[in-house]
Amino acid sequence: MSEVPSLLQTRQSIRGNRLVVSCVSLLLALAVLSLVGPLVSSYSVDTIAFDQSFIAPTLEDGRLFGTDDLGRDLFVRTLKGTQITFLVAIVATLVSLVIGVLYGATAGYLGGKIDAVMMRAVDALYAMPFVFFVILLMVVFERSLFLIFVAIGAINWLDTARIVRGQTMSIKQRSFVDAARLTGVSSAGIIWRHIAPNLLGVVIVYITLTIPQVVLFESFLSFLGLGVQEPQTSLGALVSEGVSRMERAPWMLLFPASFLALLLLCLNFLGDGLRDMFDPKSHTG
Amino acid sequence: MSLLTVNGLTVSYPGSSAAAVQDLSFVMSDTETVGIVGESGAGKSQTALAIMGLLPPNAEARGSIVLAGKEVLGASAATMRRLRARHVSMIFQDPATALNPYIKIGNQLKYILLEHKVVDRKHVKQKCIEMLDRVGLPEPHLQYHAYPHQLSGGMRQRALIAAALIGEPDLIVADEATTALDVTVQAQILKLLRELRRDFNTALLMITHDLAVIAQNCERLLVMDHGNLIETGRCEDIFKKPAHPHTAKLIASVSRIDASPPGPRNKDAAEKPVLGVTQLGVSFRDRRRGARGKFVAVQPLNIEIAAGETLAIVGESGSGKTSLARAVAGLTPRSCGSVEFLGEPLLAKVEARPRAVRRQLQMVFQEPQSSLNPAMRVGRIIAEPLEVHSATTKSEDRAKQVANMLGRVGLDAALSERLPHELSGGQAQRVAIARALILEPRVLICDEALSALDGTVRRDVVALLKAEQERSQMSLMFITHDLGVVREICDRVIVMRDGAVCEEGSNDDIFSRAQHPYTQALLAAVLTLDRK
Repeated sequence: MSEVPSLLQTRQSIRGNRLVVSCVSLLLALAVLSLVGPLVSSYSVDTIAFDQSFIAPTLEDGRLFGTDDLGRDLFVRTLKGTQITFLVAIVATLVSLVIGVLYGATAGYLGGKIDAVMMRAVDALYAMPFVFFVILLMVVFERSLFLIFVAIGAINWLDTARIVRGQTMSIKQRSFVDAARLTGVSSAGIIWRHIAPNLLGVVIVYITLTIPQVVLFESFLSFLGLGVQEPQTSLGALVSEGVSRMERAPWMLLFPASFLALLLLCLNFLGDGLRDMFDPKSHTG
Repeated sequence: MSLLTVNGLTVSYPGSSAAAVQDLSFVMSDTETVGIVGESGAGKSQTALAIMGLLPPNAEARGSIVLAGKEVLGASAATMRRLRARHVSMIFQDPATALNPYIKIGNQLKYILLEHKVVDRKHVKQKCIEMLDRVGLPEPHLQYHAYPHQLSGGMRQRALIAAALIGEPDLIVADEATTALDVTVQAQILKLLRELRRDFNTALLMITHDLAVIAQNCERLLVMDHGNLIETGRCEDIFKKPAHPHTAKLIASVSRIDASPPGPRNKDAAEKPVLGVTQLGVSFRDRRRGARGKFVAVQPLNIEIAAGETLAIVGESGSGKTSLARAVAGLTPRSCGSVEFLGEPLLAKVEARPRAVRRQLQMVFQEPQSSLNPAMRVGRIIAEPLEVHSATTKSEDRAKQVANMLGRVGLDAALSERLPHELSGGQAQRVAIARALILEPRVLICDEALSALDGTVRRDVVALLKAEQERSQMSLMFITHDLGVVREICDRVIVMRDGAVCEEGSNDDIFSRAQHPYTQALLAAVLTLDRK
């Protein structure tokens, strides 16, 4: 039986893992910068000034990242974009997490026919071409930030549900679940109090692997012009703009792309580090 | 000449304050048989691993281990490879995991011979089959081509012994080699080890928690406790006159079937049974037996338990005793029959039963650690049944009840803040018992509830269960393979084999006048400190 060490058991090894610590600190620094930077800068995200278009990055006037074709300050826009990307990452991941964990745990715990029906539904949803689905949604409804969150979250919960279901089925075999059944705890109570907390290890690792996917997907949508709407922006939208002005103003691509790459790299390393930590095989003692 | 010299061996792990083995020294001469006994955490397995050069990489070992003239500690992998199989080999506890499931039995032996060039190529197969025959595997030329899963537990252990012996080592280290086996199989394997040791003239180092196993096979005994060697000497001397109090405790904890049975219960002749099982059967779907194939775990049988009575259900693995218990509890579906509980029919599925009935029937499981939710604190684990059944009680009252319950099972109230992984096996099992008892059940099913516990702890838990039974007149359904405990506390005994009842009777009927040959075989297989 695979045993997942609980959060408390792993707390110590988290401190010991240098990779994870440095990734977390970098992410925190990035988050703080994206919140504080726009407040400190004297420029706003949406002021258009045609006389100041295509200024190359310079220390003069605080144009650290230069300006874009419409004369908007790229430093502020990049940080604002980072904010939105963080927001998408958090909200969409939460959406996929809540749906996925509850769905997967319910299917895994109840088992039998209910499980079969629930998981076949997941299979059917897997078969849908999701990019197409999201594009349709965007066209039919208005393009809004909220819709993007929901759409992305609704795609990602499928994986979460499958992983959680498998884990639940192994936890279900342990005798503390039998003991809870005998003492009269309801099925909902068992899933909530006995199964969900023991899924935490797996789920936390899975979150860190989901976030980069979500960020990438949002960037992809924005790149296609289906994501965040002007004057709001995201890293993906900025990269998309940057690509089209690459020859005239390479900094328009360089800065947002570096931010996006840094963010994804950190999240991926974090996921790897956490997965190693929660892997029971790495705990020999 | 000394074969093995262990001098000042200390094994420690970074991060833990106490050493796993502390300054252990002993000498084994050629063909000697030595036993190391101790409870879990005594450091006996660490000693075995150190001798085999198999300590995990983060272990720090100091001192010296000289085996056949070579130093083992710090030896290179190449040196160890030459030592193993030819000079020292090991029999592991669990034959199911010690054999590679993808390699045929014959090949597992063959590779050892080829690696160490024990015999020339032409004779390898013949030698393997001879060895399989020697360890008592029936039809060895067929078993040579069998995969490990095609053999039973006892046969696998025989194959493992063959693998250990085929390199003709000077020393065999057997780490809990018979612990996972049924009693009748255990007796056969111990006898086999005795014979082989004599024929092959090897030295044997047996490591176990069970003194009775050592009594059968060893001349000399080392007793360990918390990493320290506390006593050493000839088996007979130590059994007769233990010098250390812990040794005396270990000796007292060996289960004995010659103990006196419990006194007769003063029972009311007219009283109706608390629990009546009528023609209850359990079967599982088994695809290997065809599309509609079934494996019958329990053939229809009848059981009755009176108030305050202790009923033992005894049998070896696969006898259906656990399936029976789980079906009564409603955790496993029954295929036929009915159960009557407190005068009312009991529904098959536990979820379908009314709450008021559910609380009356509780269960304690085998593995204490896995029966407690690792993410819940002890206090919460014990309080949860109360929360379910008396939602109106104030939380302070509940806390008081939990503290009271912890006291009853002999635990400190401060433990309620602990998480299960911070408990010892004995403490965890007491918590599991507290969780079951807090609902004041009329029937408590103990499914091998004592098997995972150390001997001395086991005695305390038995005493606890008896005291609780006196207090509340609950009935105990005791599922076990440990006949010593059965003799000591059970009023009635049911012996099961292959899903059917073999024999049923009072404690004295079974232990003094067993009728069925299988019951007699079970009783004969129980090990005692007297050498057979």
